[in-house]
Amino acid sequence: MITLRTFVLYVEDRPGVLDRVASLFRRRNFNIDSLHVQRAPGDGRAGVSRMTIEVRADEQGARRIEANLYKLIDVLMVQDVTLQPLAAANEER
Amino acid sequence: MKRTGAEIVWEVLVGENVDVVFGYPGGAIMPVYDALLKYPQVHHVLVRHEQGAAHMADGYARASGRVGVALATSGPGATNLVTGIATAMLDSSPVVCITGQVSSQLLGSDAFQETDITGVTLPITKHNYLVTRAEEIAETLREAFHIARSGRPGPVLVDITKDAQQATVEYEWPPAPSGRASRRKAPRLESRALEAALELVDAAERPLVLAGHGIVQAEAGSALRAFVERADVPVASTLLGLGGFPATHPLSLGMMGMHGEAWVNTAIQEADLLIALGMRFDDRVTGRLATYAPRARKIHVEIDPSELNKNVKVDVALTGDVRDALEWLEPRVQPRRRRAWAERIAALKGDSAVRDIQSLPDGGKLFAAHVIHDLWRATHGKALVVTDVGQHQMWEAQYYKHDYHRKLVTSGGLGTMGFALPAAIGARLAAPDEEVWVIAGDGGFQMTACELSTCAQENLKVNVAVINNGYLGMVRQWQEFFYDGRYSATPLRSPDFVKLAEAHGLTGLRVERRAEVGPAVERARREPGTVVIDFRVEREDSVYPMVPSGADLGDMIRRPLSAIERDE
Repeated sequence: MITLRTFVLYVEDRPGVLDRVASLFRRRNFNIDSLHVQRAPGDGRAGVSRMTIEVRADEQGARRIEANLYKLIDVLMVQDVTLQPLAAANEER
Repeated sequence: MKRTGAEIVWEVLVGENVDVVFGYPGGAIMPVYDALLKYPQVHHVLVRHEQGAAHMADGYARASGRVGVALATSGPGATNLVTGIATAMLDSSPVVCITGQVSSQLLGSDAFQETDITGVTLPITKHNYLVTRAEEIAETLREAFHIARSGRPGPVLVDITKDAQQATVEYEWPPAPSGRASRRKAPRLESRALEAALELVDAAERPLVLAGHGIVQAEAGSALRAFVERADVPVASTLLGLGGFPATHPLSLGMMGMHGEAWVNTAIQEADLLIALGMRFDDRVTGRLATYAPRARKIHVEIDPSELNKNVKVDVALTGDVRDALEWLEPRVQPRRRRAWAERIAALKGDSAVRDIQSLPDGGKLFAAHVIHDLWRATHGKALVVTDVGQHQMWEAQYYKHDYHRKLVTSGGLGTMGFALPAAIGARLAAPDEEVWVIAGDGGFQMTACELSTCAQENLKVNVAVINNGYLGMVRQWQEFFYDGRYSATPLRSPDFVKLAEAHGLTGLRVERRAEVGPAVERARREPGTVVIDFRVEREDSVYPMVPSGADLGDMIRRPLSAIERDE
């Protein structure tokens, strides 16, 4: 079943990383619904950016997105927070 | 100590034990070429086209297991690498490409020979870098080598601006790459999944191992052999897995897939367990997914977790090193014999033998399969064979029985025509003691035949067998089968390959009858330099069996018996 999924990514904060992430979604033929990028706030992760990406995918597609994101050298961590209550997701931030 | 950025490039290559690089100079890489003169321990091979440099680095990597290095200038030099990089990407080959870039203050200004090569190669590299400061070169290159060879290997491109090459900075050999990428842990096999896999193997009556490129890359051949001999499991190979398990071993079945052996594809469809090792269920391997191996439980061991459950849903998915998995399974698996399964496979093989062109009289004609069989015999099955892409590639996979690791180099995933000759040059330099043979079609050979000139300049001994049928044969075959024989743009006129070889100062031979094959091969083996043999084969022969694209794996077009009788 295709549903709206939300991924939170922690990535290296350097030029071109957004391009790599966006390119992966394009290449695997997923359409991004929404995208939010910002420097991770002062939580001890220097040089790290956080991306929040919403995309329509089924369960298998979501696992593929996650596995492929991890193949990007600049991606440090991927969380599929689709099923987490909003508050919990916010706490993660 | 003080070094220029260009010198640092060579310092790192020397530190990484690189003994040869393949490249072509140009404006934006000139400082690196100038510094090369101070590093005589690195041999530079001047290619004729940068695509050749990338294929050579790839061939070097596949023949040796070490990282191959290609060097090119900015703009067209860099874009010419692209096909070679994509080839290495699809076949997980560890290659580092170093390109010059316009000076950093000119970046983004559409300067002369400026191309955004990191943008261009983003989807076809494992990772890439744009380096604009000399201080970053050493660390970046070290990391590039690490990424290229670790995990699932792949190509990495490092684009270095001209001013970074020219600047002089303090240099120290970086003890180890320190970036986050280098600190990533290798995946560890999960013990619960290993236990589950073991249970499935012990319970299976009709198991099959599907051995892929990962067996070769993880050096897992002997572990595989120990495991299948103990558990009595026959082994089918992907194209890139050939040689990972000895082809003449009684448990070896041969290649699977679109042009795989009929008994292999049938066995896959009848199996009750598939043990997929270091392979990725490519569409050329599975045929129609909905009907693929319908009776089989499936175990999949892969270093790259994104391949698990991608095309084929499996019962046990294991991320990790395939050799580690086999070494865990081997001592624990139940030793047993599966006589009924072995008899069933033997019966399937017997049915195929009657259609095999190998068992048939040639009727005075020269068939590619016969050429390759005779070449296999003459080289005692020990040559390092580099194939191009098309019919000859499939015949080679069927008729040259590879018993050893890293003795078949071929472009599987991308299917790059023009790959063979340059890749063979790379393989030759990686393995100077091997007898290297190129097998190419008349079409693919002409795509990169300019590299004959590289062979001549480098004094390299490579034997080239051109399987010349005057067609772009594989496309012609598809036109015959699926387009009512409308041969659109497939008839091909070629130059005289004997004269072409001679024009390069090399030896050219022509073979038109089967009796001439053996003597020509022997002559080529004796010649000190590169020899090109023009094998004039049957023009309209086809590769059998064939699973049409998207058809069930068991639904094969077989060599028609009537045609065989006609030949007689």
